Amino acid sequence: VSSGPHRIERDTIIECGTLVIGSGAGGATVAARLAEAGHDVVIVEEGPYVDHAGVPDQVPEGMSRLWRGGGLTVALGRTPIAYAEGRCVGGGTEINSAIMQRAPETLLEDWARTYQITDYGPTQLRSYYDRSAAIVNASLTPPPLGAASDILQDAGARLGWKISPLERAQRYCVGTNLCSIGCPTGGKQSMTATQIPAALARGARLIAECNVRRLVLKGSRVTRVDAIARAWDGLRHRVRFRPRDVFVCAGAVHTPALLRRNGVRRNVGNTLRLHPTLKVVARFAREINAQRSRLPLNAITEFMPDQRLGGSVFLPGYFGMSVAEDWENRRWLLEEWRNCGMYYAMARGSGTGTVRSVPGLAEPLVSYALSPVDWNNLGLGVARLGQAMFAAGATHVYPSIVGHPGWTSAETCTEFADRPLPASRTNLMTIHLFSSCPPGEDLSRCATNSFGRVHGTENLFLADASQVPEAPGVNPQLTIMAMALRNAEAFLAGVH
Amino acid sequence: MLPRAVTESFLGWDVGLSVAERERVHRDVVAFVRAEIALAPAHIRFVLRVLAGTFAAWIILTRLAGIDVAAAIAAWSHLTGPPGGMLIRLLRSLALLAFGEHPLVRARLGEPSVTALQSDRRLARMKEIA
Repeated sequence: VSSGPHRIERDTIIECGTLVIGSGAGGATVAARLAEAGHDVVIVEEGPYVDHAGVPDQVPEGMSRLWRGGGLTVALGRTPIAYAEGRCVGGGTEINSAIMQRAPETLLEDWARTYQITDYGPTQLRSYYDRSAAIVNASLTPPPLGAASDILQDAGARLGWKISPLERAQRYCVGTNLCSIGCPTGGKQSMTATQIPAALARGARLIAECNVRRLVLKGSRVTRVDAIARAWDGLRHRVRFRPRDVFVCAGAVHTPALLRRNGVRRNVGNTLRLHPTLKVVARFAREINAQRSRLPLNAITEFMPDQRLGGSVFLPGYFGMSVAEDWENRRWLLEEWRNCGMYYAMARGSGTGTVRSVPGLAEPLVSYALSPVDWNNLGLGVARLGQAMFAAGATHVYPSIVGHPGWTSAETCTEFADRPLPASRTNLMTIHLFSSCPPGEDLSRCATNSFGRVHGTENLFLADASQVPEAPGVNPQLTIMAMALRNAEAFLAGVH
Repeated sequence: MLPRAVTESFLGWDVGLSVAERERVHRDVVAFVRAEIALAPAHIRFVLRVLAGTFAAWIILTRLAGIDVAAAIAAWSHLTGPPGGMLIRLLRSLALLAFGEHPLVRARLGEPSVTALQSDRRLARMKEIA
């Protein structure tokens, strides 16, 4: 049984049954399921292997090592949107907060109709959701949750808004609050704690720091995959894979980028969706010491699925970043950092974006155009978030808008409820991207069939966030895992 | 030159560091900002470098005109359109991240180092499991 990645020490040719490109929630799930069924599986991952014992012991180092582009990745557009992706074994599951939610049933039904997805809907997905939730032990955290969560709870109670506790992928999580640089205890049930070891225990091979450059298609079959792998000594070696089947699971940005780079372009990378998110810094009259709370583990769900209001992990450095967004107006908060918390309004996102490979550039160009509905939801969302903060005792609330003087009362914070946010001054971010290669039988809009096989190919499959048909309005990891499990089992059953 | 000039001008979070400590923190912050820019996707890096070059020229001109660096940075950070003020806001964000998470700064803030926090929590989880 291998406990970690294989290393490539020379130029190599590897024959295998199924090559899985990417090791996040989708790739790791496919690999574990196929390995369980006795398949010969090789997983390749561009980033490093870092398990919980080896996570960085500084937050900046964690960002540099585990986040794609050091976290400096941006969807271009009239209003650029900063986004974060994991680039390590386990992908985004190693740097996210491990919130586990199911997509609303109405959306699943709507997607099945719109995209003509066979055998898809709340009933059909239930067992995949259940099994995925069991794999990561999706569960509620027992109280006390800490001040950062209590603020949302209190706000919801005062305003009569629905508050929902958030399940997390966790097992004996002790609330270290360092999820974003890799869980140091193993409490977070990320892919390196669950599906990766499960796959390796059943004979799968894992090659980390191996960057796939080329898919060679002959007719409708992928016959070869070329990659460059980094050896222990830092030297790079060519790896030529000769797989029977290929699952591309590189995420909503890099899956379409890899496909397009290799000539697979039909309905690929044209429909990127995301959850545009606007943060606020709230200052309270009392010390809340959010850095000592668990990350906020409840959310205001009254306005879902179009808007969700929640809280962010609070670390001194992350707080500093928020202040830096508008130094002149916010620097005074630095002296009162113990009184501050960071919260967000997230919109479901109905705009679309594109992913394009550009010759000579290793990273694809990502763009996204917010729709009028997105702007409306963000404006309403941040107004409601402001109201929630003041209801919970905030004295000042600063939305992430450059040059905004902040709000000091619930009356003033509704300014964007009925007029547009300033597009050129609004700082948006997201950690949820999806939908760039939607599944279904509608050939006019779908990149793959209903079970992830790329249209027009015989042995090229997808299983990652790119397959989630549209923005779900909730954290997507559980949906990604459920759909990947479904695609893997369709592959095993030969119904693809 | 740019990150150093910027960090010296905007690390206005007074946590009571000694001169020697502040020098060390500055050095580490600058190293982090430079490393982050090097990690950024090539097209982002290109934009940042063009902006950085323009900004550096602006700094030189303002110094010649007798305006201090902080005032020049403030002028840039108020530019709203992308990529106008983006450069300063981004660099400042990165620098304040590295500053706020620096072990010396965390200690001055009364917070355990991340290393200590990780050790403590690992022990706590082992006890929880036991």
